[in-house]
Amino acid sequence: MNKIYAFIIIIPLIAMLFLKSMTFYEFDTKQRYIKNTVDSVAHKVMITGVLTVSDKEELMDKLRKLSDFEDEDVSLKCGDMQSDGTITGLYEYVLGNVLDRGEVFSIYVQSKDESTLSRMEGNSDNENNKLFYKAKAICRIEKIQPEGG
Amino acid sequence: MKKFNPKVDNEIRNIGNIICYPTENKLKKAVRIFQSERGGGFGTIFLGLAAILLAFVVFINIADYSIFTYKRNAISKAMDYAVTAAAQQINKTQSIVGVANAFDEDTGEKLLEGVEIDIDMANRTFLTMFYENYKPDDLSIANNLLICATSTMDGKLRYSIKADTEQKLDGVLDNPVLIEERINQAMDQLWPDTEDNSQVYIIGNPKTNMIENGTYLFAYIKDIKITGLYLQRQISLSSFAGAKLERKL
Repeated sequence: MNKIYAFIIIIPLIAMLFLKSMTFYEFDTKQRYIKNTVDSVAHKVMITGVLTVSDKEELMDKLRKLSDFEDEDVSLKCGDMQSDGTITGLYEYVLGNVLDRGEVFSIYVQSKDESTLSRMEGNSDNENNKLFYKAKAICRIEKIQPEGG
Repeated sequence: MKKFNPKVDNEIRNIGNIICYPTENKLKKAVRIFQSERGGGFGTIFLGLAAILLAFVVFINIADYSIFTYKRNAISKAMDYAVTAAAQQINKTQSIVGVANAFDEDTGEKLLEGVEIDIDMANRTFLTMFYENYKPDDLSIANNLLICATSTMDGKLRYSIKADTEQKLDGVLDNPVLIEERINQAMDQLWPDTEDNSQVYIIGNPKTNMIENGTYLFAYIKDIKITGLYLQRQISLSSFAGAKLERKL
């Protein structure tokens, strides 16, 4: 009988630890994938200067496999780098627009729903403590302008 | 000599199919307590909690290292974006421009000599771009950053090294291979009291030398402290980019 009491204590603790590990592993892995996906897009734009509609669709497909992402959850911006080396006044990037060398491109994604880890940790009560899948990349276009361009 | 007790000793012999001898030791006693009806609960709790504690420590360490590697990768990526952006800060007033100077008189080929990176602007741009990509509250790189801009003039490599936001070193090298040694010397000179002895390695061997005569920008962040879940680790990271220049008529 004593052993039964013992297992009543031990098994829930093991289960809790296992679940925490699983949710942390899930968050960590997905977050890394999302960051890599965003970095790949940023690199593509950095080299070519353009993000096409099909590129965006491809990005959305990849993101939706990992979590709940809608079109409005992906923010694409562009603008110029100021002469003092700062970045201000970025505006909405229109898909297909070819950016010039030296311009700045920014991509920011944030999942619609908070992560399982966040729900499990009980962060849902406070909006500021919620843990979303999110990633950001800002790059400067480095493509070589075509002759006469 | 101890008298053989068939009831107790045979029980010990059969534990887990392990051959046991009548001589009792502490481990066997513990196993017997664990297997007996009386007091078995405590044994299970004790072993169970020990296993959980061990698993918890392992989990915390894995989580700590995982957070550290995520941050390190993000910083490394931010450095790539920053150095690519900063390498574009060409100083047009210091660089050779114009058809007469920028083209070979005999062959008409475009020359990429004498194109200078503005090191102060490159430093500012690097920091801006880095912090736009990665800005945790607990990390400042301004005083740990060394950047080195190179350019070519008359077949020699000119360099300008800036570190710690203020200090600057300029010079000329006959061979671009020597830049690795020069950067490492500059690091020793600028940060003599550092605990980290890591060096910049650019040259694997003469055939894998990444540096040629040209306009490049190197960035090196020394001794930055990254905190995982609870442990703080100190690392140094480097990256470099070519200016990807193109002369136009």
